[in-house]
Parts: sequence; C-alpha cells; structure tokens
Amino acid sequence: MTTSNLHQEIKQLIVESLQLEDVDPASITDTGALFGAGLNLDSIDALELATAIARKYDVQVSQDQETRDAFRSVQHLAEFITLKRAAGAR
Amino acid sequence: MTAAAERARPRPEQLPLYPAKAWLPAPIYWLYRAWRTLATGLCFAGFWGGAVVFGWLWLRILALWPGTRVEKMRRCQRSMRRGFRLFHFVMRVLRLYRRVSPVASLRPGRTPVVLVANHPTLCDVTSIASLFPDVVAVARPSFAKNPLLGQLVRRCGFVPLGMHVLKECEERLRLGFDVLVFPEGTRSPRGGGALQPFHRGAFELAARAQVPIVLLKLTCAPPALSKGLPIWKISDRMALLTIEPFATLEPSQLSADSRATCRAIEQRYREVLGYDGDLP
Repeated sequence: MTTSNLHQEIKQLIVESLQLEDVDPASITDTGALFGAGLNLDSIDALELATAIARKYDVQVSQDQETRDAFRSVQHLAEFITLKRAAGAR
Repeated sequence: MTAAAERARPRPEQLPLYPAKAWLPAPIYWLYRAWRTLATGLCFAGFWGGAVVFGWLWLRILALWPGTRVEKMRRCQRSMRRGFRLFHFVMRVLRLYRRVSPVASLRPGRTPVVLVANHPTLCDVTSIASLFPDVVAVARPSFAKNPLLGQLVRRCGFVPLGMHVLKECEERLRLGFDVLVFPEGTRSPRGGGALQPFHRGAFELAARAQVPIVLLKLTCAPPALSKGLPIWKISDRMALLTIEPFATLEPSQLSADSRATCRAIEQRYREVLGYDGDLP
C-alpha cells in the first residue's frame, strides 16, 4: 500500500470510528494537529481511535510516549502503523 | 433570601483569608499564624505518612486474607474510609478543614451512579470517600504511579486515567461502586471561583453503562487547598467544604452524544455556581 493510500484510509477511519458526521475525510490534512487545535479531538476520541487502529491494523497501541507522538497527526499515525506492522511481520 | 441579598453576600471564594489580622494584636496574631501553618504541615505529613504505612503495610496484610477481588477491594475501601475519617477528624479538631453534606446518601436509588463534581480543594476525594461508602475516583496517572500513594489508589479500586479507563470504570459500576469523576480533569481555578472546560469522559461512561449521573456541587468557604493557593496559606478560619447533590440525570435523559451532554452539564454548573459566561 502506498503512503497516500494509508493516509486516506486513516482519515476515513477517523471520521467513521469517531462518527464525525460533519467532517469530510478529504478536509483532514496530513500534518494538521488532530487534538487540541486543528481537528479538535479529545481524550475519549483518542481512546476510540486507538481501539479502532489496533483492531483494523492489528498493531499494539500501548500507553507510552511513542503512541502519544504518533497521535499528533495523520502522517505520524501512518508512520507509526507502518513501523509497527513491519516489526510485527518480522 | 431575596435576589439582591443573594448578590450582596460574598461568594465563598471571595471570603477574606485573614480576617483575624484586623483585630488580633500583632504578636498574638503571628503566633496564631505560626500555629496554623504548623498544624497544616502536620496534617500534610500525617496524610502522606499515613498513606505510605497504610498502602504498603496494612493493605498488604489485608490482601493476605482470602477472598475474591471485589471482596478485597471492599475490605481495602472500608479500611481507607476509616483512615480518611481519622484524617478529617484531626483536621476538624485542629480547626483547619471540615466537610459536611446535607444528604446521607448520594445515590437516588440503590444502583451505582457516576458522580460528577467540581473540584475546589485538594481534599475533595478524601471528603467524599470518607462520608459516603463505595466510591471510587478516577485518578490522574501520576497518582497511580506515585510510589507513596500508588498502592492505596490501586488496591482500593481507584481507576487511573489511561487507555482502559472507560472499561475499568464500567467494571467498577457493575461491581457496585459509584465512580467519582472531576470533569475538569484537575482542581478548579481561583479557589473554586471558576471552572476549567469539562472533558466528556464521565458522560460517555454514563451513556455506555446506562447508569444515572449525579451532579455534585462542592463549595469551600473560605477557599483552602485550592489550585493556585499555596497549601500554607490556610485561612484564619476553618474552611468548610459543602458537598451537595443538585441534580440527577437518568440514563433515559442522556443523549448518546456525550459531547452535547458535556456542554450542557458544564453550562449547568456555571449557572449553579453562579459563574456568568466563559473563563476570562
């Protein structure tokens, strides 16, 4: 899967798993902040999103600094998933 | 009381901290201040010392007794409640801090509820947990990881904030505990004279678990142990914390959209506490 495909998929997943009806997945930017400013997600959204990502991509999402960094933006999330999956496949 | 008189009465967080300074002769006043500061220090040391002995020694001994996880949790809770009662008794005897509640139970029925409260002082959790049985609070991860308090937090079934917080809270509710959440996520600013924006976790929890939410109004007069107020700046007068449930929301009244519930309840708190508009 190409990187931009994964980006699209993540955006779709964010909108679906968090039921953001008024948000168009295409309007989410790759590098824009997900929490606080930008998309303005909150702590419960983070939990939902973490669960959704763990389920869909079969990766371990644990509570650590690495995860916190990954949830900054779509691009960071994509890198995180790619990295985790590569580590899992080995 | 008329509306005008209500407005004229000073708000709890605006009460003067040092009224005795005006009429007590200086040397006596400074002695009195020294005593109050010392007493506060003693209580602080007593709390932490007690928590260590209690968490690391007594709760471990209790855990040796056989029983299921819930039985052990309840046993630890009973013990903890006695400890908190002793702590509050000492603070009351030293004329530092007192907590009261006009009600004998926070539950409208027999079933567990989500307790939501504003957070004016450091001792809100100990106050509520010592007055009412079967309450677990959602704790900041720093508390659960704290080497001194962590044992107590974990063994008494308090829920550390983190990835599994909703699942764990739902479990506590099933086991028959009320879950206490401060939706501000930290103490209220300005001696309880304002509110931080609410987080929606508590409301999401209640909607998922289909349990009622009980809204508690906490007021502390004069302000004590509040955010931004150093601990040693204890007032000349004993602080009085009042714990008052002011509304119950049944599960049927809750919308599935916890964002909307959260906003509505935050607004309700602003009205009940008499804060107009947003934080300056």
